[in-house]
Amino acid sequence: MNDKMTPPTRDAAVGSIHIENVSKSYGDAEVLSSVSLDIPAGSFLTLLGPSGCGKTTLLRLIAGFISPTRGTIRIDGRDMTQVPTQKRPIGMVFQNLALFPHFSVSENIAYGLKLRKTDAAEMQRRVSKFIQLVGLDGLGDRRIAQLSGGQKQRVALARSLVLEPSILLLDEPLSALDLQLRKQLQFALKDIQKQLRTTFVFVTHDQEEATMISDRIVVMSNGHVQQVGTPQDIYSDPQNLFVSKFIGEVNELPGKVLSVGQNLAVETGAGSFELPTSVARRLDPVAGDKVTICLRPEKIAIADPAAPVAPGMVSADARVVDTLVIGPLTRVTLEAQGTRMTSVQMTDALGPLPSGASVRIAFAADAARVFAPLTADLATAFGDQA
Amino acid sequence: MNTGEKPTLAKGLMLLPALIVLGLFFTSVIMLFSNAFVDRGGFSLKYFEQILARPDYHVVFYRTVITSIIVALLAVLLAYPIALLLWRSEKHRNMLLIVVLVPWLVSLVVRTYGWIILLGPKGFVNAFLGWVGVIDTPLKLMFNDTGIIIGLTHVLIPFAVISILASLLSIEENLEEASRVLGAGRWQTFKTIVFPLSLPGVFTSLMVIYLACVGAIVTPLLLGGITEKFVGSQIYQEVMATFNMSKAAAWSICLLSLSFVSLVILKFIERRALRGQE
Amino acid sequence: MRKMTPTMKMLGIALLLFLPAPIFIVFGASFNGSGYIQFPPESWSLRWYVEAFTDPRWGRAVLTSLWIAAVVAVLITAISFLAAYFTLRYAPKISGWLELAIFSPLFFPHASMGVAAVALMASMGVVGTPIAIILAHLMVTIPFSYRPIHVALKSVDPDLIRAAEVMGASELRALWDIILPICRSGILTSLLFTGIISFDEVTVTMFLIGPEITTLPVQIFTFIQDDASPVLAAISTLSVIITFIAILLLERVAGLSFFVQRQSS
Repeated sequence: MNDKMTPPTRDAAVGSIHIENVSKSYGDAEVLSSVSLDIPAGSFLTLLGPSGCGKTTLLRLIAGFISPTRGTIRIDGRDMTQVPTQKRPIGMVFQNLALFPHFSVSENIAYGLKLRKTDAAEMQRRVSKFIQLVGLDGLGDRRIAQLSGGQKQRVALARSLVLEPSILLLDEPLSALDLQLRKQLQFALKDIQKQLRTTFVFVTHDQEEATMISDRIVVMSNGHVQQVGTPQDIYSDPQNLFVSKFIGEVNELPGKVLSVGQNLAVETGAGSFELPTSVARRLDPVAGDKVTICLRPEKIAIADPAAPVAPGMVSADARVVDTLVIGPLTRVTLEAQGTRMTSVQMTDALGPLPSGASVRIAFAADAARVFAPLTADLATAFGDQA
Repeated sequence: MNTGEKPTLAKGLMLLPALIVLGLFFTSVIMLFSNAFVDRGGFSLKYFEQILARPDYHVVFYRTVITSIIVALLAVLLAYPIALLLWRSEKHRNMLLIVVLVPWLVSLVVRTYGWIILLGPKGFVNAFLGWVGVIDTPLKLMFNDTGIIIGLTHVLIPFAVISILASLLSIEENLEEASRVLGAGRWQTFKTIVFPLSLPGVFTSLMVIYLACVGAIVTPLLLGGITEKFVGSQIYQEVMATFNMSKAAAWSICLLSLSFVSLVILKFIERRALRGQE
Repeated sequence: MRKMTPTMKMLGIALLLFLPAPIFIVFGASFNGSGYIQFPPESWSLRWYVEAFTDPRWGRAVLTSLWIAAVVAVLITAISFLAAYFTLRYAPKISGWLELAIFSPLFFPHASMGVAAVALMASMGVVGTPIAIILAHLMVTIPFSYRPIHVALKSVDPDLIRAAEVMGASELRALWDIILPICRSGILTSLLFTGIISFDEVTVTMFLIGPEITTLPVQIFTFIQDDASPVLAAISTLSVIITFIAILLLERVAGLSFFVQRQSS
């Protein structure tokens, strides 16, 4: 048995990736612009973004299928520029899985071990261990064509993990599955990652999947990194309108800055609001700037129009359009001077809200986020998604 | 299966053997030209003049072209019902396909030999007709154009079957059903849907069969004899009997130009016939 | 409406049966007892088979044709595979040009090709040697070998190659373990199809034989012209059987669907 290949316990320092100023161009088209990123060993990191944002390109650069036009990629401090794919300490699960159709399940899993000339008994032991780990007991002799989508998925995972790579790259591996199976496999993936402490770099365009599954998310768009952070960071403190719109649901109130002083005064279709300048800390706006106020639906409270406004809250008059009870939560669609907004509240906490009822909406002034409008090239990303 | 990697020079060597084979082929074509156009070290049209000056050679060209056109049309006409049969019999298609493939791939000489046995003066056909009492003296079925046409047509039908069948199989199944649902009859469906969509296969067959015919040597030589000459048999004689390579090369180039011109004309007709498709 | 009218069906069957008819005639004539070609035979005998097997000229021609067919099939399949693999994987841009060059011999009348081949081989001084016949057969068979292999390789998912390489396979290993098995039926089609073509080729080959070497179909051709001994029927039957076995083998190992696929060009 080769000890170098199979460390008895995983060293937490193995499997870190450092990406420095990496760019990739095809002819005139730059698909990745000067991306820098640190991926700590043992983390579950997701590259998230709409199609064409460069996330798959970045993954393929790490795998070594393509080489960067500029910049360097280091794995555990070692420059990978001259290292061919075969010599990199990585495993990969492909979008279409790329299972070898002429091999059985065990043969697929054993292939990498065979290449490493692992002896038969050891191979047998490890193959069955990983068949068990991914929950495919008893299916070792099946042909690939005889498996269901979820089972194929598990073979692809086992096939990569059996080699115990310090880094596993996953290129949208769940995108072809139906919702329920997807959920099930997301948990399985997370579980396996925790057990093995392998660095997972996961690519997806599905923000819900990204927030559920990962420790850290890299939001990408148009070849740029928009934001890096934990799912919570990214949800509650997005750095720009793109990230804010891409992750979770958001109410957008486009408007204009009236004045900047102690407070920031913004006029929108739903009314004028006085907000603390801290909500626009990444923007530094001046009077006359076009901006967008972003409000998460759960931040918008619904109150009686006669009720007094609590200190630190901002309010506006609105009308109930529709309510939709989804178990413990209720979605309320509102209209404030022609601007549609959505509020999500605990069902228990809401009184009766008939359609057409006049209400007062209120939100904590510091719960709002103010961003510059989307640049045209970023806006197309949402056009594509719709 | 392009993986987007840049080729290295060493990997480019994989192309070399194929380039050598193609290089040999193109060199042989160049040799053909230099044989035909060079006489005593200088450019000369002598051999072409020798060929074009003889009226009996003109007859050889006419015969070759006319016979080839007849054979191509006849082969396609006779192949079409077979192709339809194979198209319709999904269950036995593989078995029927073997019945088509074997005659196609069995050596030309063997198939032609079969026709010699059938068509000869003491052959099966004459013996049968004589026995029935239809004829007193044997019919002359061989060593004339009839023999050449029968032999070549038979030899080339299998290709037409395969090529037309390929076209038929690429027709989407529901097209025909749609036509029937819309109220078209069997014949009308065939005329307006099936046949037009099988035309690419028909034209491929016409082209390949015509080319095979004008370039044929064995069948015309064995079934046409020495009097009813084909371009192919003439070429064979120049090389094997009179050892006149230059003249043979000139004949070959005439043949080449002839088939090239024919191909252009056929392509033109095809383009017109397939207008609106694809 | 997956049915034909009975008349059309009968016509199709009649024409279909017409195709192998001459082969059956040869088959029948080979058992003829009399000294000249006759069908139907008047008496039955295996004497022509005895003669075919005892005359060393026929044995030599059969063996020559067989070994040349084997060499040509293996060589041209390897040549086409390397070329198709390189262009599809590394240089898809030149793929169109390469195909144009490879398929161009198809547009050459065989008689012209024969003269061109003899002109080239004579200048190389190899006429009458196996080299001339093999080289000419490589030129004749390259389109028929390239197409099935190209089609098979084109369908290989590039991610399968990448997957093997991520797992540590060298290019050669990935080729051997993954690509070759997946392209198996294309490669077998090429091997058997070009083998059959080489075994039965006569129009080009007859210009290249010599006193030292001749192939089976060319020798049959020469004998038909010289004398019409019924031994030819026996020999022809043997050649049909060899081709037939190769076709059956092809159907078994690779299927026949290749022949009725429309070119995707």
